[in-house]
Amino acid sequence: MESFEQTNTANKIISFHFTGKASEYFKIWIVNGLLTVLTLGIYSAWAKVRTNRYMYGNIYLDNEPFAYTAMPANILKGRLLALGFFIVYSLSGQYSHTLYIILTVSLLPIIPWVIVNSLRFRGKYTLYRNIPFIFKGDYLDGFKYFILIYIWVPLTLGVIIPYIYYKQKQYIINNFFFGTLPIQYKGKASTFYIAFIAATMITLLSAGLVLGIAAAFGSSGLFYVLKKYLENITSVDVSTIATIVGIYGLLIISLIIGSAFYKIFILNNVISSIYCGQSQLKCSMDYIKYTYIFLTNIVAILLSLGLATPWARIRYNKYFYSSISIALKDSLDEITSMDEKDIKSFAEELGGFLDLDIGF
Amino acid sequence: MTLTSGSNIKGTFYNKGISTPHAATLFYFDNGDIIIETEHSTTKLNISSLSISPRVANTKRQIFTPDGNMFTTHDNDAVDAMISKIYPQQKKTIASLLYYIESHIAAITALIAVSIVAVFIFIRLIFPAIITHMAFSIPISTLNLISEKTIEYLDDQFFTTTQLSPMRINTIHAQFKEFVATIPDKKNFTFSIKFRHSSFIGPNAFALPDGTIIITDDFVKLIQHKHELFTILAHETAHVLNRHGVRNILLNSGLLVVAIAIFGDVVSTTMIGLPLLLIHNGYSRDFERQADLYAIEYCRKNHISGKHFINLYKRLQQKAPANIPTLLSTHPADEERISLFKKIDEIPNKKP
Repeated sequence: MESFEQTNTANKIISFHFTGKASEYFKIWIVNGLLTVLTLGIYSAWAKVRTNRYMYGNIYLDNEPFAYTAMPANILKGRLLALGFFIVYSLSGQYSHTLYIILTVSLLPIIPWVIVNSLRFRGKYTLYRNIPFIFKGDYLDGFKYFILIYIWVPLTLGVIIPYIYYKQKQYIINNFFFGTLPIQYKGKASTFYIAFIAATMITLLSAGLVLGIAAAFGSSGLFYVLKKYLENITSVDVSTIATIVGIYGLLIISLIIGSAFYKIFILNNVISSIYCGQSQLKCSMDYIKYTYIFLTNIVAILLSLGLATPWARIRYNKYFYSSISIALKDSLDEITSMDEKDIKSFAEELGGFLDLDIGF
Repeated sequence: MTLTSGSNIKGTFYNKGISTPHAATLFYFDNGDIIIETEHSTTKLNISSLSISPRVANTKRQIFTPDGNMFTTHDNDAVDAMISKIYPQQKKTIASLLYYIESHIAAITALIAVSIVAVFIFIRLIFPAIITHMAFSIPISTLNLISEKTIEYLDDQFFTTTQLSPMRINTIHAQFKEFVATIPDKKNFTFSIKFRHSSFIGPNAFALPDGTIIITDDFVKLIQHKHELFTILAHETAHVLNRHGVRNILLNSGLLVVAIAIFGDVVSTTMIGLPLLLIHNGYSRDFERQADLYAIEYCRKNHISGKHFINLYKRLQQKAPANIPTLLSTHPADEERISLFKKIDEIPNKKP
C-alpha cells in the first residue's frame, strides 16, 4: 500500500527528508559517465535528466516526493545550441574580427536570457503533487540584475558585490510561484555583508593559526627551508617538500573552512527568509557538522580518484534536506495550479521567440 | 466489471491543477484499456494515450493522462508488468534498457569493459588518424606561415644570435647541403638550417613544420663527426616529412576540446589534466620512435654506423642528464633508443 494519509497539514512544522542511497546513485552515476563518453557527450542530456529524476524523486515532504519531468531531447537541443554558438564564437576569432566583437557584445544580452530561460525550464518541470513551479521573471529585470548592476563594481571598488548577490537571490526567488502561491524572499542585504566579512576573517585567522603553528614547530627551520627551496630546487630533500606541501594543504583547508562558513551562513539565512504563500521555510544546518561533511567528502573523493563522488553527494543531500523544514500555514492539500492563461502571458512578456522550451 | 488478478496497481491520484491526493487504483486489461478509480472519480482511457515516466531506481513513477491528471505509485514492478503484459511483442525501450543496466552489476561491468576498449581505440587509432588526415591537408604555404611565427616567438623569448665562428657555420652549412641531397623524397619541402644561441634551452636541435631545422650552439659544439650531424638531421627530417610538428599541435588542442566536450560537466578540468598529459606524451613518444626509425633506415642506406648516433647521444646525456620516468617523458627511454641504433650495424652484417 501507498504510505498515504489524508491529513490536514495546516499549522504544522514538517521537515524535508532525502531518501537517496549511495549504492543506487553510484550505479546511475557510473552508467551516466560511461554512456556520456561512449556517445561523445550526447548522452549528457539523458544523464542530467536521470540524475535529477533520482534526486528530486528522493526529496520528500509530507510523504510525497518531488518529481522532475523534463525531456532529455529539450536539454540536448539547448546544449547543441550552446555548442554551436561556442564553435562559431571561437572560429570567428580567427576569421572575422568584426564578427568576433559582435558575438562578444551579444553575450551581454544572451547571458540573462539563458539564466531566465533556465529558471523557467527548471521550474516548469519540477512538480510537487502535480503542481509545477512557475518562474515569471522579467527579461529586462534579469538583464538589470545579471549585467547592468555590475557597472557599479568598479565605481564602488567592489563593496557592492554582496549587495549584487542579494539582489540576484531576491530576483530569482521572488519571481517563483508554487502553483498560485507566490514565493517570497524577505531577507536583508546585511546577511550577505556579514557572511562575506565573517568568512574572510575566519579564513585569515585559521591561515594565521596554521602558519603560526608551522613556524613554532619548525621555528627558524621552516624559513631556512623555504629560503633554501627558493635558492635551489635540486638541493631540497623529500621531507622539505612534504613540509611545504603540508603547509600549502593546511592553507587550502583554512580557505575551505572560510568558504564553508560563507556557504552555510548564506544557505541558513536565505532559506529561512523564504515564504511559500504564508508558510515560512527554515534551514538550520550546523556549522561544525557541515564543515566536517564538506571536508571529509573532499578527502573521500580525492582518495577514491572521484569514485566516492556519488556517495558524497548523497551524504550531503541527506544532511541538507533533513535540515530544512517548513512551518505550514496553507494546507498542502489545497494548492492550485496557476491558470494556463497567466503562465502564457508571462511567456509573452518574454517575447515569443525568446521562450524556447530548452534547458542547458 | 470482471478483473483478472494482478491487473491493478495501487497509487495516488492528483487531478490536474490541484494538490489534493486521492487514494487510487489503476486497473489494466490486455487490450490496453485503463481505468483509474478513486473514491470520487472513475477515469477510463487507453494506455496509448498515457505518458509513463521512465523508471529510475525505486523512485516513484508518474503516469500522466492527456488531461494533465497524475497517477503516481511506488510499485515500479507493477508498472513494468503492465507495460510488458499489454505490449508483449514490443522490444525494450531505451528507458527500460537504461534501468536494466543500472540495476545489474554484470551489465555495468560489461559497459565499463566496452568503454575502456572504445576509449583505447579512439585514443590510439581513430583520433590520431583524423589528426593525421587534417595535418596532411594543410598546404605548405600555411606551414611556412606557422614556422615564421614560431621562430619570431622563439627569437623573442629564448634565442640570441649564434656565437659560432663563421668557419664552423660554413662547414656545417656545406655538410647540411650534402645531407639534403641524400634525402630520397623531399615531398615538396625546402630544407634549411638556422643557428641560434640559448643558455636556457641548452644543446638541442629541432625542426619547424616547414623544414627549417634549428640547431643551438651548445649542440654544434658536441658534434665531432659529419655523420653524427647526419643522424640528427635525418631524425629531424622525419619530423618534417611526417608533419609531426602540426600533428602535435592538433593532437594537443583536439584532445582538450574532446575532453572538455565529454567530461565538461562530469569532472573538473584539473582532474583531466594529468591523463591528457600522459596521453599526449604517448603520441609524442610515438613520433620520436618514428623519427628514430627513419634515421636508422637512412643510416643503413648511406652506410653510416649507428655508433655515431650513440656517441653523440652519450655526450648529450652527460651535458644534460634527464631522468624522467617513461610515462612522463616526451621521448622514449634512452636505453630503448640506443639499442635501436646499435642494430644498424648488426643486421646488414648478417645479410650477405
